[in-house]
Amino acid sequence: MRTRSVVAYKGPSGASVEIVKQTFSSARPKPARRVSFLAGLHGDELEGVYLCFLLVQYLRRLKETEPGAFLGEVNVYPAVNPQALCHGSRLWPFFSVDMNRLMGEPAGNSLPAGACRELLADLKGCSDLAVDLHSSNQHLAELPQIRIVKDFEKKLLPLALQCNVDVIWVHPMAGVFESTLGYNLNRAKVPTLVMELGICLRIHRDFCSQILDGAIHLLHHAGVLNSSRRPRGEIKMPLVLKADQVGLVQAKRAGLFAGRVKLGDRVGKGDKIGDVVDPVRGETLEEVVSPFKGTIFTLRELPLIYEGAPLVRVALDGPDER
Amino acid sequence: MGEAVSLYKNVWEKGHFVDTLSIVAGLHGDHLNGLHLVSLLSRFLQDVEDGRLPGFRIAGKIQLFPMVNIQAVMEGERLWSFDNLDLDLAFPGSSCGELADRLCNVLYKHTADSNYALLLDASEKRCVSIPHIQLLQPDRSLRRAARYLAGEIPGGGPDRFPGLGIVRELQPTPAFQLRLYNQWIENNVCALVLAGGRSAGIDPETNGALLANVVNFMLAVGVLAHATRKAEKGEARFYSLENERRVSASHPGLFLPEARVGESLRQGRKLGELRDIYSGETLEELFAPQDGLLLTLRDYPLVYQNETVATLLVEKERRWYWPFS
Ligand SMILES: [Zn+2]
Repeated sequence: MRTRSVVAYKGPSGASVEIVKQTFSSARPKPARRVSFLAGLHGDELEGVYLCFLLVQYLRRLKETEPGAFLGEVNVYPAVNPQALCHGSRLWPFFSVDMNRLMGEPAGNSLPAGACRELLADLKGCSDLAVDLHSSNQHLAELPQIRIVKDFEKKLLPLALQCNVDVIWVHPMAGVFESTLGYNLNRAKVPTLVMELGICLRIHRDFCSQILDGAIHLLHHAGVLNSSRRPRGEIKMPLVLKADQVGLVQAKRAGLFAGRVKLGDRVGKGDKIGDVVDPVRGETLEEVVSPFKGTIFTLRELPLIYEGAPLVRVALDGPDER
Repeated sequence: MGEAVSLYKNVWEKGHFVDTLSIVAGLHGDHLNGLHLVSLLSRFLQDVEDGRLPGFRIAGKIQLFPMVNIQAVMEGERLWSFDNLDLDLAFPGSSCGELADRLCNVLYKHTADSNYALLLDASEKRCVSIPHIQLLQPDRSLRRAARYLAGEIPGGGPDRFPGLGIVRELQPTPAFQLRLYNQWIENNVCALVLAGGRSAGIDPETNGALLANVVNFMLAVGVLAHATRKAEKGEARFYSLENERRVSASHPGLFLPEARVGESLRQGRKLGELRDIYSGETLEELFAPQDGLLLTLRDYPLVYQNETVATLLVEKERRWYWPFS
């Protein structure tokens, strides 16, 4: 394993801040393929950071015991927004910017814009395939899923199917994606899977080990690894959803949401999802019921809600379940 | 928790079928200069309506949005910590989304059919800028509008802000399409950004002077009228991106400025220096790379390595052609 710093700068106190990349090189002179995993673009999304730990641990052991298994190269960037990670914040502190809204900006605009540019350039230079790991924000928890912008479906869907996720959501393009890392890499012809799992500031060990299996499977599928001790477990066949197969239940009132469902639960039309309550008056404001039949793949975790807040997203059993 | 979230606007209107000017401030919770300027405008327009300013009358529709991001303003932060969302990267929003989407959508719907719009913006975070106008790919009508918003600020001069006559062209970035200003331009609103000052602070003297510029602009676009006074075209200097020079810190540390924003700099003029926090040693002296006007200067002393500490506006380099080929 070779450790390299791909972006480095010093803070006011003189202390260095670095974005680090771990490279597991190919046993062959020319790597079959190069795959990169990155996490922590939002500094409070720790599931991906933990997953990178699991992956680095696995790859280190493999390198020691079976170095010939590396037909290609694997790069792991465990914490690409290091200051936000130390802070446990989504945004890059001091500048209060979202790194995943700065991609594609000219470098001269600011230190974060420059860092994003360097990171993007490094990824482009060493990846034939990339996986950008995210968790949800503090409001929602997500079943392990891959989100694909429709324009890239043809290229990405076959790869996404190898990742042991529960859901693949193919959604239309929107302006907000243009400044994201995933979109910019895909535009630059580096197929990039954007993965969401769990919730920020927490680690779901079961989700992470599920996606570790997926990552190892993807690396074998992509021809990067060829290990004789490859885990032979089956990978999940995910639900592949188009935009009209996702049902969103939103709060009609502001208050506290007390849910009574879990991620992955099956719901039918009319099933109770939870209550919106007014704790000051002691009143139930809304009994939230599902208008859909399907599987819950997004769930409200932060009980504080305003009108319109997403409560659950349901993977619909069919288009007529809307 | 029962507390309603509201978006307030102040409206002055003279009849129907008139031109509308929308002025928006406080998209970020630390853009306090804009809030202050809008409060001055509100007082002025109310004085006009109540007849306390003889000669002036409302001739169109003027709507002021003093504080869009109320949540962030109340928190004293740039962004609302509940969603960490940059409200100026959420337009046009959606009528059925979350709170921020709805807020942006309501503001967009209230302003997108205006004839004219002004967005009051602060300088970059932790910096101070001279007040100036920003435009996106300006055509003739935008340039003309900018000239009416431009004009010397009384009390300006080498030691003070040199006035609003500076018009900077904005740089479209991938995220730019999500900004309110871009949505206005796409909707063919004659829209300008009035930027400057410092974030998280106000400059009452400058705002008092800027009030006169905005009043002149309102006279020019016909939403305000005066018995005898006509709008005056100010001097405007248009700067494109090629005219901007950023000066960055090669070292981190404590930045001690020496120059002042608004100053006309000669090449080699010292902008300031960076000191090591622990030893007090001077790590680096920063100088103007060429002649120019100091548009923006670092206001907050702690600086990361590679951060921009100053932005200069320079005249385009002359091209010399040999008299033979
Ligand atoms: Zn994220």
